[in-house]
Amino acid sequence: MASDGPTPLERFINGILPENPVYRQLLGMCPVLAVTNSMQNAITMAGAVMFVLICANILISLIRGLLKPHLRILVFTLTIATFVTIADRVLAAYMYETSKSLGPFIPLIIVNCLIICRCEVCSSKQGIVTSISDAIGQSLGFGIGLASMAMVRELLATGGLFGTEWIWYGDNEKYRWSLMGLPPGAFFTLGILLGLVNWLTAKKKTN
Amino acid sequence: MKYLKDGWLILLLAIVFGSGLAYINAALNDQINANKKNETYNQLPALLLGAQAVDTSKTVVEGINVTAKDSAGKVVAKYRVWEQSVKGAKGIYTVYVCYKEKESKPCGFVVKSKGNGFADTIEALIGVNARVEKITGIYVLDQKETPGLGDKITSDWKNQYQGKAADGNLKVGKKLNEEQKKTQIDAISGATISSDSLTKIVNSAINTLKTDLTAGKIGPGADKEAK
Repeated sequence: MASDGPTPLERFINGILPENPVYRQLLGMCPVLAVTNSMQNAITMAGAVMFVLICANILISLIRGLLKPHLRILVFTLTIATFVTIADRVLAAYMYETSKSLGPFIPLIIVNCLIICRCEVCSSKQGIVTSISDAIGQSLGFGIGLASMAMVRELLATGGLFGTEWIWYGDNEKYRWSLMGLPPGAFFTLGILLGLVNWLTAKKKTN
Repeated sequence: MKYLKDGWLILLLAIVFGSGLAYINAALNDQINANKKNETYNQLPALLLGAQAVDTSKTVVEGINVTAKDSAGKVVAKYRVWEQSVKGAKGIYTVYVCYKEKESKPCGFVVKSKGNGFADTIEALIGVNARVEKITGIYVLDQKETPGLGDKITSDWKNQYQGKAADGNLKVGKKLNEEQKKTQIDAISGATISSDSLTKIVNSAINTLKTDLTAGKIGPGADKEAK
């Protein structure tokens, strides 16, 4: 069972670009659109997703022999919900400000289809090493996706990153493009970046 | 029996996860509650003395004692805080009665008040002096106003409330001259509704506080006297 499928290294690399969760699989779009208004939020979200994904993948991989086909999704959801709740509580206890600005989106990781997808595709079929490297690869890919969105949006909306203001904007507010910090800006940025990634990879293939 | 045979894993996981979560909740609950409390308590000195005099990030909170320091780390003031839930005319609200060290008369009040903003509820702390004559500070705890426009209510813009008369009749105007700025609030351009909402919250909080102070509902022992 464990010998089938991609090796740990393949899983890891796949997660970062060839099967990037944001730009290739289009999974977990809710946080991608909702929390990328600032770099701080995006990175915290990526960290929380990484924690949940690694823990869930390890656990599912360990009990994969016991899973009944018709009850597997239930087990996945139960596991994910537990680790999400842990992440939510820990953030509220030690990173109160960020946890407040992320609001309901940490609890909503429970329904982030990226994690269920990785449980289904990888950890319920392959061994623990492959599952861990898959989880790290996928969550890094997710983090890169979130960070690239957040970089564009925060720079255009506030003129800085991580809540600071960069010199060329100073206090001059007329250069700020607030729309990019709002929901429409998320859709614009996602569309443009998605197109860009597709265009670049398509060009690579033809060469 | 068939169900048990199929579902034993889920039952077992549910029990294990449930007890694990109960443990984590018990371990972190105090810290989370302390975060919520400290967020408010940290702001109290700045609300009484004015935002310029105190460096909020250096405030030390120990139980009910709050020590305020300025940006150089020098102690500016020490307060004791009496927190009380008051049943006002428009519902229950929280008031923080602040005492200077060793004094028995309050040196100021801070009211936690909520009201409708442009997008969602705005929750703010309003500081007034002991005689409720003057607003000493405003702090916005929670808001979801439009980023870049309405969310300026959290910026230095709110400092203009400081020093205004606490008569519960503060007005918002647009494009005010210097003379008008002394008694009115200059609206944020592009976010008049947010400015208006916050001012309404401030006015209603002050009016409620005045009524309840006169009725003797606020302060240590007020509960007993009311009975």
